[in-house]
Amino acid sequence: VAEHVDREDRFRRLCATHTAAVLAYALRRTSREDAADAVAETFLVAWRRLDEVDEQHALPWLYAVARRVLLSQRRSSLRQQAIAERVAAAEPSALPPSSEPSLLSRRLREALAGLSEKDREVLMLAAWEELSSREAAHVLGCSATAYRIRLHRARARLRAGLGYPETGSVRPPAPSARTEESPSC
Amino acid sequence: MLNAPELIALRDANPVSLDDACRVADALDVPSRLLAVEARPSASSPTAGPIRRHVLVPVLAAAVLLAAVLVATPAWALVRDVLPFWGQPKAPQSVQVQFSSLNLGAPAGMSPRAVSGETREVSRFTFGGSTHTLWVAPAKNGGFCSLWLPGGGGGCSTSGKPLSTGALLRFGVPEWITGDAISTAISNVVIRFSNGTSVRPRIVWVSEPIDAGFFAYDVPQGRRTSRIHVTGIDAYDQSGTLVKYQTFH
Repeated sequence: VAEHVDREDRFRRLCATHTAAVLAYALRRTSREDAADAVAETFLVAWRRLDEVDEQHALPWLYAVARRVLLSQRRSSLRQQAIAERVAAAEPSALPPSSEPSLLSRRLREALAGLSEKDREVLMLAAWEELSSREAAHVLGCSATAYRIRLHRARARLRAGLGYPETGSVRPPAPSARTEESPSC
Repeated sequence: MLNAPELIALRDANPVSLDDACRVADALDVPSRLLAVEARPSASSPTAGPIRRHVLVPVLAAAVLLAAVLVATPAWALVRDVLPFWGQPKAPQSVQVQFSSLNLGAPAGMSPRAVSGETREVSRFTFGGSTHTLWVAPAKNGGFCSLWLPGGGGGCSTSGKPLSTGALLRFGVPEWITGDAISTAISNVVIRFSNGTSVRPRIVWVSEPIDAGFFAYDVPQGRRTSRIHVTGIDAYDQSGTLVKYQTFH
């Protein structure tokens, strides 16, 4: 009984601490309804695999699960996708209405749209989830070195898309011997 | 690295802050959905004590016997009281007519083809202030049709959907809920409330050719408020995996 109570306490702590962050992660990538479903699914996985969750580093673990859940959602049938889009269109988001998009945000949106999904994910993990290289690499299931290289390339493409001048100061991280063995992001 | 101009621009364009996410979480009742998972079977089983040697042999013999039974019996039938469909009372003509009407008006090829002449009385449930009889008929297109009479609704489940539900909502709050779950996919149903609690409704399981379980839940008065109300239904398979859920918003 004590073990079960402890398990429940750990799970409640996990929910209380990370629900908002995981939901924000999902909301940045999908519709409201799908985001809520993805969060529920993510924490269901967390409940089942609670023993694997290190409370100190739970967030990257939860992001990694949420990412897989979202990918799985995306792979679901076209019919479901169409329904989700109709729901999103019919029911405006609870988010506050954004102000008139600035020139920068329009350019940024266009630049992001021109990137591959992998590039976008790498950039968003850095800029929106504000994860360290090690944490973001955990989410993507690759090495920190592979992530840094991917981020460097994605940044260069984003810069080009935004029309920013090339900078010579940003150097790609030096590839190490382990990079070859590490799975790519 | 975050001081690079392109990342600063991206960070400033973050479409969802944590405050935004908190508001959406409240609007969609996410916290109670998450805490409802505690009603589910835990993945970790209690630690077993040491097994004494002298009980090991009879236990092994029983396990072999159980394995033989398991091979010969559908898994879901072992853990449930299953009502034999063909042994149930036949429906009177007046009810059969209502099942026949389910076949009418459907677009070409979409009729469930309910076998109204084989309608059976399955059970009685009290909800919405009166007792309703659950009538069930097999369908030629696979699946079954069911009606809660008088006046409790119903329909046909011929597409193999693991969980189908119906509810009476007053001001968006469920007052009673009915549903059916496919036996081969679902073992357990949990009704979740906005305060994080949950209940398991009584399910009447019915044998082939229906192979489904039926439930009705009369929501207590104290749980029909804006603060405490039903938020959803979860359906689990034998291993405790969430197979399907339905939300009420």
